[in-house]
Amino acid sequence: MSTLFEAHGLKMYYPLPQKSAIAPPLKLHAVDGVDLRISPGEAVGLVGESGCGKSTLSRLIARLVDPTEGEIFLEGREITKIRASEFSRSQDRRTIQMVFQDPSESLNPRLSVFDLIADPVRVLIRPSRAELRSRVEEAATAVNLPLALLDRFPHQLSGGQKARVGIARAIAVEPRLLVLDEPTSALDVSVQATVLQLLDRLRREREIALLFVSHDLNVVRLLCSRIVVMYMGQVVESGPSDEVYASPAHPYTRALLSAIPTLRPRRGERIKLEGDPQSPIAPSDMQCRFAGRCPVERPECSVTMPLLRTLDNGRLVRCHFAEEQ
Amino acid sequence: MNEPLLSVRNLTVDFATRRGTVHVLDDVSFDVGAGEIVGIIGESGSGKSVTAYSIMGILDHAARICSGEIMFEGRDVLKMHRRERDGWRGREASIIFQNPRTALNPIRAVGDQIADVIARHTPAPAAEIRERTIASLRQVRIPDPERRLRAYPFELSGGLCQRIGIAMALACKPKLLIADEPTTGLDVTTQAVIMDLIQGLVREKGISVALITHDIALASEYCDRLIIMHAGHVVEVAPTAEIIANPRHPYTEKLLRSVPSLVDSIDELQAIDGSLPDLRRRDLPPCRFAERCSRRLAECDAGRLTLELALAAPQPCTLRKGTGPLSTPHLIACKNPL
Repeated sequence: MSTLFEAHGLKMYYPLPQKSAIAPPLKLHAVDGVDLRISPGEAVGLVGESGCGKSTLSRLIARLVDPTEGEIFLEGREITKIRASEFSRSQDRRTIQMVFQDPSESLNPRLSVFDLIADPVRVLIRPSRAELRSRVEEAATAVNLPLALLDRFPHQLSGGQKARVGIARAIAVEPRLLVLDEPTSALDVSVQATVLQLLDRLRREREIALLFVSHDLNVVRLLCSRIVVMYMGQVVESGPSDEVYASPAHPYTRALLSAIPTLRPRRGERIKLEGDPQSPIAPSDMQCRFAGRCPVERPECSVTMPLLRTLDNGRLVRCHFAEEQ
Repeated sequence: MNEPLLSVRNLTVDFATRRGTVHVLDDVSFDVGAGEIVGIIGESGSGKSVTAYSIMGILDHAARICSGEIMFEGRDVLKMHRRERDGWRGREASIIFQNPRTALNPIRAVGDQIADVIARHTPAPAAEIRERTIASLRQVRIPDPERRLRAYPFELSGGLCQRIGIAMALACKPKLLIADEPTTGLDVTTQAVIMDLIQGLVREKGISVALITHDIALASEYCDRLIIMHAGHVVEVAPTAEIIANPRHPYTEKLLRSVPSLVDSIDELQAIDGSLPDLRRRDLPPCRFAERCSRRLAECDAGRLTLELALAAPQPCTLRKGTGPLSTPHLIACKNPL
C-alpha cells in the first residue's frame, strides 16, 4: 500500500508563562510523540476526549502550526522545513485541506457562498474567471449544494448547508487529504447522516483520504476503516475500526466505548472513570498517563510508562497489560 | 392513575419578532409523574427548551404564553402571583442549564452562588447555610468541598462546573428537576458520570425529572418515558422501550434511523429530508411534519391534529425499577401512523 502522508515523532509543546524569574520554564504537552501514516483514499478516525490533543494534532497535520519536534512527509517529500506561514501559499497546501468544526463560526459572514468556495481557488490556483466559476460550481455540485445558493450569505443557510460549504471550499482545490475537525458535532442527527454519506462518497469517488477527528466513536466506526485513540497527547490504541470496536485492548478505549449512549442493549456493565486526569503540564515520563483513572491499574503503571507496541493480532496499544484483558 | 406531579395542557407560546410572530409551541400537552424520569427529545428548533423555560417562568420578554395550563400538584403555576412563582421556582422546581460555564456567575465563588439559593428560599443563620452548602457539594461527590466552596467557575473543569449546577438545583430539595441538555459539551466519559449522578440522586430522593436532550440514545438509557417533539408539537409519547421497538409516528421512526449507534454501515443511515417549516408562516399545516413526510395523506392537511392513543393496544410496558406507577399509554399525533 502506498503512503500519502506520514508523520514521525510529532510533538507540540506550548510554553506557559513563568511564575517567577527562578522558576523552571513549564510546557504544556499537547501532542507528545505521535506517529501516523495515511494511505490514499483511506479514512482514519482520530478519537479522544477534549484536551487530549486531537485538535492540535489535526492542525499539525494540516500544517497550520509548526510542531515543536517531528517530521511530516507528504507523498514522500518532507514538508516540515517549510514554515506554516509559508505553507499556506505553497502548492502543497492544495494537497492537504482542512474542514473546521463549527461551520457557523469558520465561514466569513461577509462573503457570499461563491466567494467562500472561490477564495482558496483564487489563492492557490489563480485561475481565469471562467475556470474559477466552473471550479466553484463543480465543487458545489459535488457536495449537493444547489447552485442557486451561491449568491447567498452564511446567515441565510441552514446548518447542514453551511457544513457543505465548508467541505466544498476544501475540495475545490482538489486535495488528496482532508483533515476534518468534528465536522458534524454542531449538526442535528438527521442532518449529520447526509454529511457523513457525502464524505464517504467523496472518499470513494475521488480517492480523497480523510482524517476524521471526533469524540463520537459511533460515527467514526461507520466512516473510517482505521481508528486512532488518543489520550493526553499520546496514541494509546490504533487498529481497524471494526476490531477496535469489537474488542478494545486499552482500558481507556474500553471506558470510552462503554460510556457512549446506545439504543442497543449494553454489553456488560458500564466502566466508570473516577478520578481526575493528570495535568498535561510537564507530565512525568516515568508513569502511564492514564494512571490515576485506570480501572485496571497496578503498581508498575506509576513507575514505568508503557510504550506503544504491536500485539499478536497486529493491534497497536500502549498498555503493560493489554494481553490480560 | 396517580395524579401526575406536573401536567402541561395545551400550552401555546408565540414569540414576537421584528419579522413576524413565530409560533414556537402549539398545543403542547404532557405529564410528568412523581418519581419519573421523562425525556423530552427534539432537534434544534423543536421547542424543547422553550417548553422548559415556560414551566420555570423564565421565558424571554418577546415570548407570550397564548393559552394553556401548567399544573403542578393541582395548581396552575401560570396563575400564580409573581412573588409566589419566584418562591416556587428553586424550591419546588429547579433547572440545570446546558452550559455550566455560562450558567454560573464567573466572578463569584461557587459556594456563594449555592448559598444564595439556600438563603433565598430557606433563610437561616450563616453557619447553617454554610453547612448546607457543603452538604450539597458533598452530595454531588465533589472532593474536598470545604476548599471548593471558594473556587471560581474558571478554576473547575466542565464536569465539576456541572456538578455545581446540579448541587445548586437540588439545594432546596425540589420535587421537579428540569435538566436542559445537562451534558452537551461534556466528554462522553464525563457525560456518563454526570448522568449516573443525576439518576442516582433523583431516584434516591424520588424527584421527578424532565430530561431535555437531542440525543435519543442518551435519553433511552436514563428515561422511563419519552416525549418526541417536532417543530413545536408533541408528536409521540410512550415508554422508552416501546418507542424504540415500535415507533408509530413517521418522524420518530426517521429520527431513530438517523442514529449512528443503531446501524452497521454508513449506507443504512438515513437523513430526514427537508427542514423544519418556517414557524412564522400563517399557513402552517395542521401537522408540521407533513411537508417532510412520505406517508402524507389528504386528511393530513384537513382538520386539527390531536395527540391520541395509538390504535393498537398499548403493550404492557417494561418500566425500569423504581419508577412511579403512572399509567403509560402510547400517544401519537398522526393520521397515518406506522
